[in-house]
Amino acid sequence: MVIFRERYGTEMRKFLVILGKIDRRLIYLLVVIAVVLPFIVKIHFPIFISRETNGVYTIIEQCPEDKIILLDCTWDAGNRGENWPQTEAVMEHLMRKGTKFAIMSRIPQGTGFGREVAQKVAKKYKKEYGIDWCNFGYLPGEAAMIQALARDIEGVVKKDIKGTPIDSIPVMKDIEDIHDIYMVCAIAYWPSEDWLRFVQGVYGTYIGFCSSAIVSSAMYPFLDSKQLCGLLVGVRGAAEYERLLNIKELGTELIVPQSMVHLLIVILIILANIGFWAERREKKIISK
Amino acid sequence: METFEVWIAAICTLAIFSFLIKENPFYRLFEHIFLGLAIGFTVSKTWIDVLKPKWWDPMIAGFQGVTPYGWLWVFALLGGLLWYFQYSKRYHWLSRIVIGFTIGAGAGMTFKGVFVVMMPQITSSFKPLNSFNNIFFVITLLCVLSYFFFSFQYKFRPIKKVSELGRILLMISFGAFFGNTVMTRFAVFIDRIQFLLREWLKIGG
Repeated sequence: MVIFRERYGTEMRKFLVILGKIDRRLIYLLVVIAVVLPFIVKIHFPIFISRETNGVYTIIEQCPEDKIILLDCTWDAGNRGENWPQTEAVMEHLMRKGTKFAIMSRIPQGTGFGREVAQKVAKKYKKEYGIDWCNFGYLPGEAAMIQALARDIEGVVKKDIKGTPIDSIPVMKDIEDIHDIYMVCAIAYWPSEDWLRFVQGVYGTYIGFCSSAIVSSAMYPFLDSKQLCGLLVGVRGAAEYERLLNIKELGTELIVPQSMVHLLIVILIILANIGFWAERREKKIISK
Repeated sequence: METFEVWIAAICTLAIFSFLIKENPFYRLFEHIFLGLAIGFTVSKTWIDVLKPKWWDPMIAGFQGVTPYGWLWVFALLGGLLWYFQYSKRYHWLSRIVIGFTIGAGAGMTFKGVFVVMMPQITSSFKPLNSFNNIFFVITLLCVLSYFFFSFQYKFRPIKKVSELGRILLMISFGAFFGNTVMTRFAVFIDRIQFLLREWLKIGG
């Protein structure tokens, strides 16, 4: 050991110092390899279902036939990577179970994405627009709109996205206010807490959030206080939901490169810290 | 997606990714295209889906005598136009009417919302100490709260240690926040790579 340290000690120390100064372009290359590799070579990682994902699944499973689920698809291209697989997984569940639902969006871009996912899943289950689901379109007004929608749906949404009066759409038959909606599932980069303030807190309606991972930490207190019935966290949530449905779609596909890149980041953080400590030690030796 | 759409989307993606090498005119061109598209789309969607069916059509119907009170919608326009008096030094006070109205309505809704959202969280923090999770939760809560006592100096050593522990626990939570940030950023990147490989280059699948 002593001979090894004497012979290779200096080289080893220099090597360790280099670890803290890896060129950013090399890091980019490693990231690209970690992301691309799972798309070319089949790699599988086990998926464990969390309590928060199970919460959304359980409430949708319990939805009675005379009620609908409201999907607030407030996401756009900027967060497609997380919200698309989440929307797809939830819609897959709704259409497979035969639960009727309505889509709405609080941003103009969200209506198109919601419709696109619904049409994709509907093809698989041969579901029909108007009978199994409908699209309210873009509903501006945030908190004021949410409060008004809870009191009187037809008062806020006079026509659907195709211009059909809401009272003549079969899926909306006998659906008048929030009491006819079993659960609101808000799918967004940062789902609006107004659903908790003005719907869950006032009427006790189940609220589920499908958020980006970045804001999920802020959502956990709502789970603990039972204000949220469930939460899908980023791609992980979508993959777990697909596991519950026993399907392998986009979420399952995207979680593998995600795990690979996380592993790479952990390794790089460890290496950078070794480099940092080695450099500090080197400076001490030189100063002595 | 059609082949043409896929190619357009792929070129746009690569143009934005070119920023990773360095700032370049190709990136800037597509950045401006995106901005223009997003604003144009929002304006047209707002007019088609919101303003026209919910404000313009009822107002015109009112003026034409189809509905009795539809013309009253004209006051919504007048109220909205008051915002623009912010640009006038002389008539700036007129914009304060609509600002005051907006702040009042917003504050009222927030006041109502805060109680509804915060109270269940406060009550749920009173947990029985019958499991490891609950004990850990209560210790964390007390330590972090002690860190935010700014009214007196920490002369009593145990309190000082508790507040230091609170700071460490806060740092751990910030680490979790940052970990989630990494997760989201990579999810967006992976989605684009998946699109480029699967739909554009037709690799794998």
